[in-house]
Amino acid sequence: MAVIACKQQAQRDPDPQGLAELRWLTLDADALKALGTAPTECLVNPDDKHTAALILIGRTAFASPLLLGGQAAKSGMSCQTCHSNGHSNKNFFLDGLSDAPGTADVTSSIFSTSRGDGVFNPKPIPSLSDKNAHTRTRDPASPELADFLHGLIEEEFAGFEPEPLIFDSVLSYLRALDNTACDSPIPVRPQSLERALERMDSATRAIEYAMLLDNQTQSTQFLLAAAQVQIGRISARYNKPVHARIRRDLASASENLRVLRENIPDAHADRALQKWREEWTGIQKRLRAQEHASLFDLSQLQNYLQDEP
Amino acid sequence: MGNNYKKLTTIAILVTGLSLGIHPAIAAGGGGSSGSGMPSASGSAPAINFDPATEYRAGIDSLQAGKFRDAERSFAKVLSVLPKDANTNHLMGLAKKGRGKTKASRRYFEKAIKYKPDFVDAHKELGRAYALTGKPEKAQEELTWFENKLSECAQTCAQADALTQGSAAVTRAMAGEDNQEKKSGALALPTQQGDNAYLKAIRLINEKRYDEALLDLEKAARIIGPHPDILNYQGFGNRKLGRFNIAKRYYMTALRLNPDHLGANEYLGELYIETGELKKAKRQLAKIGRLCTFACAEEEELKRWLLASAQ
Ligand code: HEC
Repeated sequence: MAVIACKQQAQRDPDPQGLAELRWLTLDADALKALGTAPTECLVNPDDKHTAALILIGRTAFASPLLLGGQAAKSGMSCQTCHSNGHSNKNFFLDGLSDAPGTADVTSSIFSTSRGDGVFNPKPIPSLSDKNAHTRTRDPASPELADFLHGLIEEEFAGFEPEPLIFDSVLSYLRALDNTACDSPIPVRPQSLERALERMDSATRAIEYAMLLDNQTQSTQFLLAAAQVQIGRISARYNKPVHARIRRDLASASENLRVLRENIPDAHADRALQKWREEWTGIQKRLRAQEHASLFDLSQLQNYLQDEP
Repeated sequence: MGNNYKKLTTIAILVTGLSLGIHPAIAAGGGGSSGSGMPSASGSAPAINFDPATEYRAGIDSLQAGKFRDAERSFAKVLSVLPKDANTNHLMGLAKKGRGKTKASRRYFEKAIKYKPDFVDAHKELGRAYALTGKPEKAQEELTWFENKLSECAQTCAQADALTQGSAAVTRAMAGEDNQEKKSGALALPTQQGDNAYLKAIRLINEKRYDEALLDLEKAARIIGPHPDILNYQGFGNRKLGRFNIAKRYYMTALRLNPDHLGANEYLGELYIETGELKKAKRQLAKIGRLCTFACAEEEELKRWLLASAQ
């Protein structure tokens, strides 16, 4: 079944989807800056390999809509949407959820089925990597952050309870976010193809790690889906008719991850992933070769934004 | 693209309003609820190559400008693909009436009532049309309908005012005093009000206040026209109230407008699970799987429903 679906997928040209980020971009924003650049993610070096792996997993989950539930997830929103690279998305604006750019009402019943408090009370989106601004301790000995995160995912965003590995990894990622790991002021960098590929690489390494662990079927599947979403984000930036072929390649790469996902648990999953990575290496080359014509290129992005009515 | 249907994502609506073109998010034509935009070839009815909601609004504009012929053309176009849309039938009746074809208008008001039995404005127009075309006994039936409804709701329900006005209008027409052409209330409302009603409905749904949500969705639908996102939530609200047949009809209409609508495909699958039609539910899951090239929440949710139903 899955293989047939995969073949069908590979033959069709997925329409360019438009950039999801535009959905929650305030009209006042300098769209080019908001979509073309991002503050650097500031992560402290982990103490050991295991923590390093957890941070990779957490980072991948943080950017995956599937960590959230309900409407937020369906809109393609993730933690990363509001807390871009662990900072605060000052351009975030959603009618019904925000009263000013950079604010959100996370107790709104638009997203939540249980915490909707009936009051429109948007709050500024905080940076998660500014130690001085933390209202919740990052101390692993304290349950505060974990309690908060459970509430956030399962109640405010009406998501499903994440697998323990995924949940703990998000905590590890949150604890590793720290502005002191960056220069001050925090450098703003282009949202280039390399950044997107680097996130893909991060996701595949997270998958590899989860595959090594026992009984992590669902976590692995979750991360595979997160990697698919990331491929979709790349695809959205290759939006021109001349990109039809590369979009097809991306769709097929994503479909192959789906097949992997559906076949798990599978004793040969690691080999299948290895094979997939080889395929991906080829696609990466073609993506790089065409980056200048994609929306990763600032002048292309500018044209695209001007064409948007 | 193939499918000219204007795509609005569930959230894009939350975010940006259903009425087109107020926010770049709309123009982004995002995937969200609408899949990849590739209409699937499946399904017996031919693909719809225009946006019925846009045509519906155009019809209302013509109606308000007194261009009844244009209005008729627009509504006829919408009805050609959605013959059972109560709101469009009602408006078509008004367009006919505007052209002086009161007798012909009756058929459309009758249909509007057939597909939405409690459609107050349609009852009012039908009663008036009967009175004006020499069918006093039929007009009386409509008047009786109003009286029954009024006594049912004891003058206090949300529709009490509309019912009182409707009943008065039919009475006047029966007495031969029907001369002023009052515009239907919904006609004058700007689309922003449709967006607001929609947004409010989503909140109410999340608060599990389905009855109220359906009223707001109804309001949104009358202003905005046939739109898969509204229809999808009308299906959802009805489903949560246990009205599976009605819910299914809404989902099917949403899918008629956009066969690749992720939300409607998912919710229809959930409905099949609730009605014990697991095979059909699995077919929905397979379809969503084909639409979600880059993984999506709709697929994951329906998968969980299926897993839970197997336990
Ligand atoms: C819609 C925008 C939005 C999304 C999506 C979002 N957040 Fe937040 N987040 C906020 C806002 C606003 C606050 C401040 C809430 C308050 O002050 O009550 C916040 C607060 C927090 C805090 C507390 C910061 C502190 O003081 O220590 C943490 C941690 C956090 N978010 C993590 C996350 C994670 C993890 C996710 C994904 C599961 C996420 N957020 C998704 C908007 C968002």
